[in-house]
Amino acid sequence: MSGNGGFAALRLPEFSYLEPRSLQEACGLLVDSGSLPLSGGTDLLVNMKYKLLQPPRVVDIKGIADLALIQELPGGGIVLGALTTLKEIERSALVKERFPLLAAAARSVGIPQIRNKATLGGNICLDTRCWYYNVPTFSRKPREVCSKLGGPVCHVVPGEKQGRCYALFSADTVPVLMALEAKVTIASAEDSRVIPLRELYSGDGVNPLTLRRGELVTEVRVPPLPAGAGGAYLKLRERGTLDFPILGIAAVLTFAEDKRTCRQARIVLTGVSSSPFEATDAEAFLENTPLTAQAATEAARLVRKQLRVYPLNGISARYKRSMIAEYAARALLQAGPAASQEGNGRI
Amino acid sequence: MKRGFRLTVNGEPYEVLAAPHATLLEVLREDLGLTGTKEGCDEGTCGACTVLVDRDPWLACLTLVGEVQGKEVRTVEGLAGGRALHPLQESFLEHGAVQCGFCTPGMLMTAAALLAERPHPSEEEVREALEGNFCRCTGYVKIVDAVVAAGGRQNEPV
Amino acid sequence: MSRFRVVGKSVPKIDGLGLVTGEGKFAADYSLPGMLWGKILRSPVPHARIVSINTSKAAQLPGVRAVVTGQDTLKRPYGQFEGTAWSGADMYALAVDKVRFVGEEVAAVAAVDELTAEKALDLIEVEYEELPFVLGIEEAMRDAAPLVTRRLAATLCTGSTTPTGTSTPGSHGPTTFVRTGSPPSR
Repeated sequence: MSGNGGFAALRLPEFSYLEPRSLQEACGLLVDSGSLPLSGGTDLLVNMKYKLLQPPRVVDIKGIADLALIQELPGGGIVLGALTTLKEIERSALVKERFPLLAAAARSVGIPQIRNKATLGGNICLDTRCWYYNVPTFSRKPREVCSKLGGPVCHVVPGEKQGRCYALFSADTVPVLMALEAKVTIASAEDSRVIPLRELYSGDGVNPLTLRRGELVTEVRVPPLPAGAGGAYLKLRERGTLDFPILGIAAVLTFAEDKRTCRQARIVLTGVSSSPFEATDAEAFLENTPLTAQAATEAARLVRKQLRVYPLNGISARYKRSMIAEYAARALLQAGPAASQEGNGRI
Repeated sequence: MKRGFRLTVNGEPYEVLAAPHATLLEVLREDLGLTGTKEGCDEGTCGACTVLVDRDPWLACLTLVGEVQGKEVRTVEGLAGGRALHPLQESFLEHGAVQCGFCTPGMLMTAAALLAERPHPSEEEVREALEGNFCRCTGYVKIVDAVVAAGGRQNEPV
Repeated sequence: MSRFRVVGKSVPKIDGLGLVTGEGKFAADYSLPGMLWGKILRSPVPHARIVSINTSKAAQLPGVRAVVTGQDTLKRPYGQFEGTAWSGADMYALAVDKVRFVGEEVAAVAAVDELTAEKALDLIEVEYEELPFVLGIEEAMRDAAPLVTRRLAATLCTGSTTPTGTSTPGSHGPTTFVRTGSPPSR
């Protein structure tokens, strides 16, 4: 059940607990390299119990007002505050109506108790994962310190060039948001900037975010979809609940007036590389192509082919590659015009 | 450095001297003597530490004491309210939904929140709500039966 | 079934009330004045000779009341089926001289709170001389595979099941069941 070999009772290391009341104050506190932000804490606190992170200062950002809203934008898109809980997204009538995929992806995260506390911002900024890394101190002792912790080796691909970390991006809401071409607002004490969500991710397993010190993601804006668009989010994991994805795939397709020809495809995966993976070859193939079962199979093959898959977290590369192709095909067909715009969010 | 935290637990105000790195689970069990909430894994994967915070099930092991200031915390000790037993507690006993009993407080709190929101849940809804509460003994069937049966009985809002 | 009081009746679980109210106490729920917190230091390696253990830093940490190793114990082995010919009494409360699995208990601390006890464990310095180890039955069956315990010399036991279900060594050919040892002489 737990990954710690049965050694329960994991005390948090000591820290100062800070409660800023404004965004400016919070960003000011986070400039310091010894500070980490706490939103839902359902990932941060676990990593702190494992002594992977031991920040002297924990900055609880939940006191910042107005970061937990879900609102419609003129034109039909929506804006979601970074402190919105995953449960609020899962249950929001507006989200379920406009972007049911997103509600499904939020629904697929963790367990209800976690979703009651975990936030959208936390999921977007989720750290990468690896089973040599995400274990308590005792389980790491027999091995050399790994790259993600600043050590000399990566246990996933031991022979490979030093320093490269293969920890996997593992958030569920992100592939959907990227397939929906969402943008994020990043604030610092002085100003803010808006970037496409994909630009938040560095591709580096050690430091997966391009956020600078003192910056916080404050909101996500999702533009409206054209009429007749279809989407799906499929998540493969070992159990029917709790687990992070072995792989998750979001497909958002827009169609021509004939309702058969795919105009544009956005296909994004999680759990397969150190950043969310955009299957650009498959996307290019599907552009202005009728979405037949054959086309879906070929597109799925292109998704699989474009990825370099390593055995990790107990999943063999061969199994993972097969599943990538299988799930890509299913997601595309579910996103097709015959299906309604719904993701299932769980296996 | 310990400092004072004001908490409300089971309707009672407490002022606790605790370290900022203390979790709600530790404070409940060690400072307040409320040992009904159990520590199963301490890392958010079992649900045994489930308590209600402003009526929502939260994992106390992944909650800092500072995060519940100004909020209402309810534990299994506060489930019955003014009654001898909450209908869920009665139903669990009647249906044989308790074996070793370690998962029981967490199950009860999650189920209580479900019934407060949805008084007559279907079996499917009960199973979904309890996805985050693991049991090694019973195989879940009697727990689900007990919750479904308790639905519709007189339930006070939690 | 009315002549029975228990058979065929639903009998209340004797400790059920305490379990559903949270009042019933499990071992970890007890708290006594002056109670200390114990933690065990475990071997991170599967097979090794313990060269040295230095507990001085741990013992000096404020709040630590005791640090013990195998040297502080009676070194009396215990185990399953004690007193029988197949006694596996080769476990020690804390490892003496050698560790034989990842997780074997090597040292223990008692401190005023759990975090101090955890910190004390990190201050215990153990030097291990790692030895070859086996993972799995096939490896363990090879000649000259390292033995988990010297008390049982390695010999092959063959046998098979007769129709009555009893085992007759060698009677039906070389069917290998398990590699085990001959009973130790006393």
